[in-house]
Amino acid sequence: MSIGVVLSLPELASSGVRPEALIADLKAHPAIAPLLRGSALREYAAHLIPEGGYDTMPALAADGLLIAGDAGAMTLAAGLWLEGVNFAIGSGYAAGRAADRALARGDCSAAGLASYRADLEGQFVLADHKRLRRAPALVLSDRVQRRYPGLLCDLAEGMFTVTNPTPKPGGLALTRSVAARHGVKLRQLAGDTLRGLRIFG
Amino acid sequence: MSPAPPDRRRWGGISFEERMATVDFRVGARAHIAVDADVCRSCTTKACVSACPADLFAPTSDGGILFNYEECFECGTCYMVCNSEGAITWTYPDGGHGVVFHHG
Repeated sequence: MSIGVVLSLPELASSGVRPEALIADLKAHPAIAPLLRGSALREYAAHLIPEGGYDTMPALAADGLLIAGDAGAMTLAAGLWLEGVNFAIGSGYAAGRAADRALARGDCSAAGLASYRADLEGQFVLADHKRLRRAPALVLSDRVQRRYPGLLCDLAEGMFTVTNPTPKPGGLALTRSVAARHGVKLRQLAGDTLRGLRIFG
Repeated sequence: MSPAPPDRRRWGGISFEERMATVDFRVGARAHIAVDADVCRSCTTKACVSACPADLFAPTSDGGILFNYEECFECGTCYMVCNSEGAITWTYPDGGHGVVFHHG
């Protein structure tokens, strides 16, 4: 079994919390601890996950070099899409074919390997990243990660709480007060909703 | 008697040394990360000290940073969180050296 924490490096740095302390907290959580009872640590590890998406990808081919998988930032952190192994397999397969073609022609220069990128653009590896290129900035934003979960819970609580004899606030008044409590402007809420629909709709 | 202060380096019943002892490193002769202590002395955050998963950065009494490259995961966290240009020079270890993950 492998258990770990995915986090943002700037926030790890500003919090001053040690990484192994976060993992220990997760393992001690009442929902997780029973699953780990009697287990022993076999290996401790740390990796970087490049989650910037399509717009942060490096050049995928250079003279004598093809870049595949997470080295090419082919990890998708976009809400319902949490993928990477599929892109590693797909790009590795395409890189193997590109290398085979380049060797057969005797041209392993960047130009000779250019078909690799075209191949990836034509299939799910880069098509999915391109389609969701604006997703990481929204999904990993402070509002979506930290403010909206609590805001939605409070909104649901406000909707279903009976406040007799005080009249229940209307939907708009409730949304406005809950948003204000979480430091969110209605304009931001509407803007993020629209962005979300454009990206995922 | 007051209770012993919590050990910052001991979590979940395992010491940091025991944790690191589970990892296999083929240590190269060349230090693949270099730290410029002169730049570090002017740094106020020293984020590398708390963020490095292998705890390889130690502040020195003169305000600099002491770095030990042998047990490095090569994750790049230090380089990513460093806010001072030129303080950390980051490269991968030479071929055949560095961390060896056995369980992914």
